[in-house]
Amino acid sequence: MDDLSRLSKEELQAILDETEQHIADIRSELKHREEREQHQAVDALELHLERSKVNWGEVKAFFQQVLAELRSGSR
Amino acid sequence: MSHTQTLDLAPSTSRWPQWLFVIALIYLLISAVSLIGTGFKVATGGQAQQLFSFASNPYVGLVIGIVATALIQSSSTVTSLIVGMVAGGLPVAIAVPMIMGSNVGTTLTNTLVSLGHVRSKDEFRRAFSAATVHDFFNLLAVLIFLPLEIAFGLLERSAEALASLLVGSSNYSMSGLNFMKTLTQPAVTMLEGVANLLPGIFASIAMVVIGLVVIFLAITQIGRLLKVLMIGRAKAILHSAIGRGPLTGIASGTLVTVLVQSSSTTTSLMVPLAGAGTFSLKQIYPFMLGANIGTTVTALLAATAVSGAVAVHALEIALVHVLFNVFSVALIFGVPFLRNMPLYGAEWLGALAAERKIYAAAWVLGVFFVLPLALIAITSFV
Repeated sequence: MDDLSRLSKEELQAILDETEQHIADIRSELKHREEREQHQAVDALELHLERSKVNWGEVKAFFQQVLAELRSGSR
Repeated sequence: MSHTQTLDLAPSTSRWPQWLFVIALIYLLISAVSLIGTGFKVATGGQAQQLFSFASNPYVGLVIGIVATALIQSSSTVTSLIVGMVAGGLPVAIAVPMIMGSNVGTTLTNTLVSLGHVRSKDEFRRAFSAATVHDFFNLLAVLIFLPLEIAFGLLERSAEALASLLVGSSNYSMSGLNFMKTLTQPAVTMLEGVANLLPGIFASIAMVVIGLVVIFLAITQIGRLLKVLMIGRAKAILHSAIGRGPLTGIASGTLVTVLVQSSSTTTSLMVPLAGAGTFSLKQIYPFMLGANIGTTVTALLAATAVSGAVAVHALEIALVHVLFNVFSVALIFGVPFLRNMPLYGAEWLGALAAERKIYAAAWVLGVFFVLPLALIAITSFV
């Protein structure tokens, strides 16, 4: 804070502008990476379609976990 | 866009047998709806209204739609069956809550898919929230539109006006030509012949059952084939929706669902994508709503099977399905307060279920089975 108090208003404004630009660049990079991952996921749509079916074995395993959770809770 | 350039968008000539099979299955689907109409009319002896008086309680109709769709795991089959039953004399007013119920029942599929992500806590939280945002939206839609329907007949009246307009201005199989009836007659006659092996009323009941089985098998097979045939186009639509706003999300959800003819497929597809954290809940939410609209095409297709005086009613119930989903999206997504309610509900429930699985189990069993049956019990005794 001491350093900032010695800077002129113009210098502070310049630092602020630069920081804002950095934040905008980081946001843009994050958005770009997120969208790239989403495009890659869509490219592998066939794999996701396979995972989007009801797997009754997994449903059964889920309810077994629920029962185990209930038993451990009642002890 | 580089991602879409790599896709095989041109229809391959080697796929024409599969396309022919799809056309044959659509033909069977339409024929089966016609068969159900005939069978239902004969089985009820033209007394469908009296026989279904128990369902004149709209909550009973709603529960029938929820439980039937949850058990069959295909809203398209249930809505096509309802179209056939309306063609056979079931009053549209009784069928409207059933259509609403099928909208709720269909969300069970993606909720069951999300249970498969239970091994990782964070993944389960995201996947379960992604699945239940659809549940919350459809339940909210029923909470808003069922009372409006009971009080004013909003959907029935709107659909009636629209159906009269369409039938009056086009030859949507309802005109004197009865084009679709002529086209489907051979298949219907053949299926009727199978049912008529049974004596008396059993023959007409068999027509309904055969029709239901044929619809289910045809829709399942159409879905399987279209998933293969349309994957390239579905990818292109999804690629083009990335980085765009929620309206593009709704439009892409609608288009992909029309292409694969299954809202369960498109909404369930979003579950692993959200579970992995690739898409946020807010990003997949509009896509789920689009799926609700896209799936209504099947009932419209089924309505083309019906000709004669009842054709307008069959079209009316199919349009009820369309309008219910369009109105729901327009109202709930259009009003910021309502728009955020399914998101908050799904995030809250996802966090709760990730901590204790019993909440997820209670949601699945409660919303799709216990609550509907309790609703019948309460409204029957009050």
